[in-house]
Amino acid sequence: MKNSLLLLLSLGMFSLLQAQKIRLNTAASTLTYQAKHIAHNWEGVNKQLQGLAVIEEGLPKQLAIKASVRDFDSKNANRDSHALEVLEALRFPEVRYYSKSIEKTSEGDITIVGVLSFHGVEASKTVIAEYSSSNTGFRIQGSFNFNATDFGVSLPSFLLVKINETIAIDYDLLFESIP
Amino acid sequence: MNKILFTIFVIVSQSINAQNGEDLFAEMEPLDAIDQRLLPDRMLFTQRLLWGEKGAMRSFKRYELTPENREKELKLRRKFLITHQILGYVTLAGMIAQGFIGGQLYNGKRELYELHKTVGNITTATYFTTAGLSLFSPPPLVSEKKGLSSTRAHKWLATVHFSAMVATNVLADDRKKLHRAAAYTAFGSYATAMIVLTF
Repeated sequence: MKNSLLLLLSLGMFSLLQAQKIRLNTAASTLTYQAKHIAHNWEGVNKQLQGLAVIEEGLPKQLAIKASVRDFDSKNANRDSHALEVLEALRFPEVRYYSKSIEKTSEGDITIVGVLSFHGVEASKTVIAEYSSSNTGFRIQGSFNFNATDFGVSLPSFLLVKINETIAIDYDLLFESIP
Repeated sequence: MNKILFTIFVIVSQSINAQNGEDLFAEMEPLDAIDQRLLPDRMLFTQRLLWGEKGAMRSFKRYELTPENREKELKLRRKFLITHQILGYVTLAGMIAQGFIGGQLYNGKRELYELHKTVGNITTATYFTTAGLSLFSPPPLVSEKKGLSSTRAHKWLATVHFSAMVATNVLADDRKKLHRAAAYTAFGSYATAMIVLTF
């Protein structure tokens, strides 16, 4: 009986220790949106991201990232302010993405099946990211598009013409274990 | 018995590890208080008079400073600024028309005097309505950052064309040359203000 209990405890410890949580390195990570209008194109960068990832056997198994809508900076305060109004930032202050599954699909790539939560709407979003690992964690980079109208966003207009509904997102995320 | 205990433990430990990615948000820091401010750090004094924390509009229940009311206020701001844009274009058209009519008048076509005066009054009305919509609109969520920007240039030029517009009206009857100079200054700075914001 004692041996059985010891074996069970050891197996339990081993199982729990395999999974390790690491944090997003905010200073080294960015999330950029790109939007288009007939008059001009622009991008907004967020350098205040938060995130966590769970790694097992050296590979990410789960991850979650969130960003405050107010922290996107397009170098035009008037435009950023208008964006906050359009996105109803007081009601929906954050944009979030979390994974449901992560698989290594090829050398250097991983496929993340996840959920994008934006403007109070959640939608499935699968992304293929370039993946590189290090002793302290991993980095994922890539891009994807989404339609703002799919998330209930009323497209703002300028000079009586609405912006393009497709928004491109570029991400560069570094997850590292904290010493 | 050992097999049963082992099976139970494997199931329990796997369920601990099978956290959804969504569960990770609970372990992140919540939003800063700074992210939830309802008013910007800085606003025009005209906006502060009406919409500041102790502004005149805050005494009405509909405009009490709450997140829900502030959301409605931002929609109102949007309407103010859209109307500001539309009337701005109407004013520009009026100024251009006045440029032609005034030029003809100064070349001796005295019969255009009443037309010039009427179009002038209309343009003055649309101009000051346009200005009022901007000066008294609810403030944005965030202040403008310091430094040069198209919005800041648009506001700086506003002080030029506002002064010139006042001068144009004051000098309308007595000082024709100064009236024309003030009108050209108003038009030039006004058109530039629109261009810097458009591009």
